[in-house]
Amino acid sequence: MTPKSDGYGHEYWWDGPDRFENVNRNVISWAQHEVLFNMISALAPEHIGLNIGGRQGTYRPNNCFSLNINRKFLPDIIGRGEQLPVKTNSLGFIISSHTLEHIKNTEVVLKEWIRVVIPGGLIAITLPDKNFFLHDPDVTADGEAAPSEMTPDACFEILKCFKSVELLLFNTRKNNFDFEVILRKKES
Amino acid sequence: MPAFYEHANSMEWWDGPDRFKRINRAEVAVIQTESILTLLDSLISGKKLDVGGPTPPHIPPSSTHGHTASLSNFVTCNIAKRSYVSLLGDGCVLPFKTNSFSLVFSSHAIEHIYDANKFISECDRVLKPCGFLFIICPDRIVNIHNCNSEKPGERSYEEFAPDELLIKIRTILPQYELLQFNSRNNNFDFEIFMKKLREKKEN
Repeated sequence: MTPKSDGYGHEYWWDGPDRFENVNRNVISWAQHEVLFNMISALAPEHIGLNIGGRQGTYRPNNCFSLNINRKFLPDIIGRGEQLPVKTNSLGFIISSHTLEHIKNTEVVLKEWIRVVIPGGLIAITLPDKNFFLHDPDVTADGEAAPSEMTPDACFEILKCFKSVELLLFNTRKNNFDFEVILRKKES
Repeated sequence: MPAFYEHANSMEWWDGPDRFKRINRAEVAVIQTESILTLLDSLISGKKLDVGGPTPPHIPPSSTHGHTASLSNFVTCNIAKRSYVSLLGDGCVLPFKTNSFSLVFSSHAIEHIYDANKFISECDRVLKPCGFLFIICPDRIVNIHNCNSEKPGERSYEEFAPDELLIKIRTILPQYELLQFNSRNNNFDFEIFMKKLREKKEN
């Protein structure tokens, strides 16, 4: 890699094709998820939200609770993403990263998530890109098999069917292996 | 991949005190700023201002991402003559009308301004009611600038610890609601995210 200079002594490798080539995947995706979590929860301070597929951590936004099917992640709530233990129109936002690909019926799950969010509430989803990132298809352990892993295009086709939400962000360039989607439930 | 990255594969490391200790600072800061800008651009509607931008400064205008000069709703204003700034202007006397932006964003700029109080009240002036203010600043405790540098834009006049700047802003702008005060996003920056409430009528 030959760094170019912009005249101020900086190198802009970030913009080139080498971006993310030599960096740690986990560090990048965790840093990006954390920014996403913080931003979404900060924009709805008067509401409670759910981090689906989340885990216990030393830090989380005060108004965001984690829900997971698997006990080993020590979530605040143990439950299934297909049947959330939450009333209709009650959550300010839903955050989920690397979870939707582990659940079989993507349409059913999305319908359920849209149900529980208030009108005007946000749903932020991060997913691995199937073009770059392949889960092991033979894994059958609960929560580790990824039956509905998809490419950004496939995800976009699914999202087009939902008329009750508007697409705020569809970002496939944030890193080489993830893409993120932000939906807002329409006021009806 | 360098060997010292291996420990970063565990979630425990991420939650622990060593997080961000042995990774590339610039890399992390660029990642976080880029994510923040993408989210702010999509979640907040209306015209937005980047004071001290474009952010991050070392990305050229050909970039389609993570760069305020290329985001169509962002106006970038800087006192230094950079090749891809959309407007030259002083942070203490912003060349904009009152109530003209729905977001004022500033990253690593406030510490380079001689009169930070003036800058904060100028940000308040150009911001619409119910607008957002997002300030990223290096932590004085961790990161010390070269205070004697003669190069424009490198000298820092007043550096802040996270709580110092927060107290300063809340004293000048008591009508603002604090949405997020994050001094833990990495080891060297902190961010303050506030919302302007509707102004009270004066008698």
